[in-house]
Amino acid sequence: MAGELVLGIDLGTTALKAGLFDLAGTQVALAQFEYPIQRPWPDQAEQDPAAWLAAFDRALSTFGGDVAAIGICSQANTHVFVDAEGAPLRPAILWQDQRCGGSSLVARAEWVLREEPDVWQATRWVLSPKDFVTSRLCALAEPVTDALMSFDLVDASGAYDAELVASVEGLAERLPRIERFDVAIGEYANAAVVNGTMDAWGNVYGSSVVEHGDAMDVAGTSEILGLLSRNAFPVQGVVTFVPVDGLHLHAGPTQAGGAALAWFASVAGRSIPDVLAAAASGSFGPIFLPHLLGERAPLWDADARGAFIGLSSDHSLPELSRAVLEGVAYSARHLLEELEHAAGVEAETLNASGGGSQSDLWCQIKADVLARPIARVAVRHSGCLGAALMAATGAGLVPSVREAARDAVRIERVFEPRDDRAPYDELYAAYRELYRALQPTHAILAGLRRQAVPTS
Amino acid sequence: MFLGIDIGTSSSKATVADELGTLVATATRPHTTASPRPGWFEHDAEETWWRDLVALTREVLATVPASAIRAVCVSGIGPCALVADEQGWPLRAAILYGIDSRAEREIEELTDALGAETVIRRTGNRLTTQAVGPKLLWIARHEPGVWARARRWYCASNWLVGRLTGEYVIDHYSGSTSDPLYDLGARDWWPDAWDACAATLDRPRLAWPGDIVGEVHTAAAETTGLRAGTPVLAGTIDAMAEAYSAGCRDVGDTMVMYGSTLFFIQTVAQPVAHDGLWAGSGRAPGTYSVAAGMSSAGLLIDWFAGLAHEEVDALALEAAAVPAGSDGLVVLPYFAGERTPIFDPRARGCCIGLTLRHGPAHLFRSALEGVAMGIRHNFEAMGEAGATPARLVAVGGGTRGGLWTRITSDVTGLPQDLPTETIGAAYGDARMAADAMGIDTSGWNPVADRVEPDPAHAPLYDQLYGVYRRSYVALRDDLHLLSQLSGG
Repeated sequence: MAGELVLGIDLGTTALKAGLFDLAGTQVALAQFEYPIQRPWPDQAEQDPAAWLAAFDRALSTFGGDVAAIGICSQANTHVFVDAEGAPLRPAILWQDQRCGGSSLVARAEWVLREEPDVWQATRWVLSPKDFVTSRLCALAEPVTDALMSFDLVDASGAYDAELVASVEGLAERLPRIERFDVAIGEYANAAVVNGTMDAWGNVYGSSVVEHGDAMDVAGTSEILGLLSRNAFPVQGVVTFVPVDGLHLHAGPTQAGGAALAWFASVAGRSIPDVLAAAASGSFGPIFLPHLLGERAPLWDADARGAFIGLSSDHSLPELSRAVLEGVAYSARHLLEELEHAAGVEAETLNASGGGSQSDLWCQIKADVLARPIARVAVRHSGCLGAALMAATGAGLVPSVREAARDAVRIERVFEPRDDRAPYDELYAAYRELYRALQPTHAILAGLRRQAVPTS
Repeated sequence: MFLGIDIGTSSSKATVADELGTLVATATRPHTTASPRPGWFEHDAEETWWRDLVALTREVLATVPASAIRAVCVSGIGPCALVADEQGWPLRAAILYGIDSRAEREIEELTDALGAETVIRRTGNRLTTQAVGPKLLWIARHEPGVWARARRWYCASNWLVGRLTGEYVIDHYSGSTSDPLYDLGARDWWPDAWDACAATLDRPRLAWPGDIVGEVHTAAAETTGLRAGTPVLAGTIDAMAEAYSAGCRDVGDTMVMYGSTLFFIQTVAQPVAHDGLWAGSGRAPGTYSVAAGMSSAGLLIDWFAGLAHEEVDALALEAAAVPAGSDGLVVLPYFAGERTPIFDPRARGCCIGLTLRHGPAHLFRSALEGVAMGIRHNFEAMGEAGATPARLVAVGGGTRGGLWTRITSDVTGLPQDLPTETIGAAYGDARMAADAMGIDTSGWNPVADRVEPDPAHAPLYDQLYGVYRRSYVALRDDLHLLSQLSGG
């Protein structure tokens, strides 16, 4: 059985990542295939669903055919409108797209009904990216989705919220049926294909977040934090999912994590490794607000902006570099505090994965700022591992995805908060206060942007 | 011909000009500033000031005969605290102007002793590290042996005048910036202040910077090569001489000096009372001055270039192509705290409004704009005090390339004149010497160019200036906290 290989796919915004794993959770191979985002208008973002299929084909041909099961987790709040044959009627509308204010499926359906009635008429199904891909791979007569991907459409029982769905005429019959995310829904090239779900849940299992109080930090382009709990005390700005195996996931994405670091490196005319090396030699200096694209969780403030506050002529690259890493950690601490409110439990440890977790320094800074251990998992692409564990579950190779996650996810290193850490509690309080103090400034700057950009 | 000599912080300069203002000879001599402890800055008067004067004079006299020098004028850094015996011999190194912050405790004590409001009413200024009185008090307290022998107090220029002529005299401008010793309304010493911090010292005679106060005596003539009997002016502090060199003559004329820091000085008709500015006497009888200074200017430009890992000139070219307003960035330039008009040593710099679209050229331009906002803030303070600048004259290294001055004019809505010569205070000294000998110098150093504001940018800059002002008020407490957490 140890010889069985499973494929976990993370169908992301800029690339498809494919990881081949054995059942012990060891990564055998990894590949990444990028695809573009189209921005026909400044507030719009679209993608060609055919590009996802092409990337999947390339992944599979790279790894060969010897795969027992395939699991796919994908970007959420991205929507594909397909006809009765499963063919896309227009480019997918990405989660980043702001054409109708929000990114919910209801808002998107309303927009297509109003602005593109012909498309709406021809639409048989409204699908998430992974639902689109699995239905094409398995040639399903009727596509399938899951309750976690449809988190903003379902009631507490995990079924579609009838009243909400009825708010757009004809939407109810265009929604696929809901199945559990870890069941097989078809086959492709002799491999079982499981339902899969949204990418954050791949990270959950790939980070071994399986018990009440378990938490994760996925340090990618943005930071995604999640906390599992028996309880749910819904909090504004935090997504609380319907329970899986009796546990709610409370989660949220910030806007700029690794993106802030990459931006700063380009502003400083240095490479990211150079910036990280400089940060290692710096002591704390200014405070950095990482809201370079506005902020998502927990602030959900598109007008927020980034800032360096407290600059001194004594500061240079080391202090500013360090401030960037600290600023991202402050935003993570803020989000975690809100998750803890929603969950009614404190996270004792954060299991960390993602590209940002490769930096020892950044992990240590997060441990110091968040005042709790950061446990870095061995497989950085936790989303692929989680998807692979769902695949193994759906194929019957392991008894449950929870047990598989408990057994197969290995902690590579634990970063403990240091006794002599910088005065991060005070600095974090200042970080929170600075955002509030700058809100009127952000409002004025937003007004200036609207003056500058013609809206029609 | 006329000899001007200026003693700066890091170098001294001599200039010889003829009756038409044409440069005949110049010489420069670098020197070092001692910093025996953090926050202490000193010059050895004999080794630095006198030696520079002698060497520079001998250097220019190699090309100009001593007999051709009709008068000499000296300016220098100030206000300083140099204590000397009854012959004028220094008893310790001179403590320099506002960069020396050793007397913080004495500033508070003296303010309490004299009364904060009384100090402002009498001198036009609050006591800061720039003040002389607290430094004298510091010497009295920490060096009682020195203080017991001290009979005289000097700045740089009047000590050199004393060395050349034997006179114990100081100009009104130097006196009026040596707080709290000078009563601005009375245009005379303030006896209560002398009693409070320098009771045992003799007070120097007051003269106007352009007055002839003596002549080169025989011993000084032998050392310097100057002709004995050459008339010597009272001279003044370098800033005033620099403004005059650039052509700031009339009431309302305002010099903007774009250096590593920014300095402004305007000639006004009435004493100015504003607790965010420096008030002083004027260059000529019947005039006063109002001055202002920002802690970071050119320093900031270099800092941003360093961060971007680029040369200043290359970055300035890119920044010129960035739209006005830097696509929504605002910089508070308080990277080294700030002097006027907020007098907040614990303020710190900010870079607000950052997005992924901003690159190094945006940040660089926003730094220039931030300094320009600070300039506008100072001009507004002058306006509140009834002294709106009538004409701006821009000098200093920061005028090179033109981008910074253009941004300043756009942000302030004011044109700026650029003089032909920008060689500095020593040229102003030479001009004062020529005036004293009855020469009409009105044709000296004509305006070479004028920077005009572009009204198209005014609405945007007005709004960003509002953001600039509001942001400091909103962030002040946090900036103080950050400066405290990082140990000063």
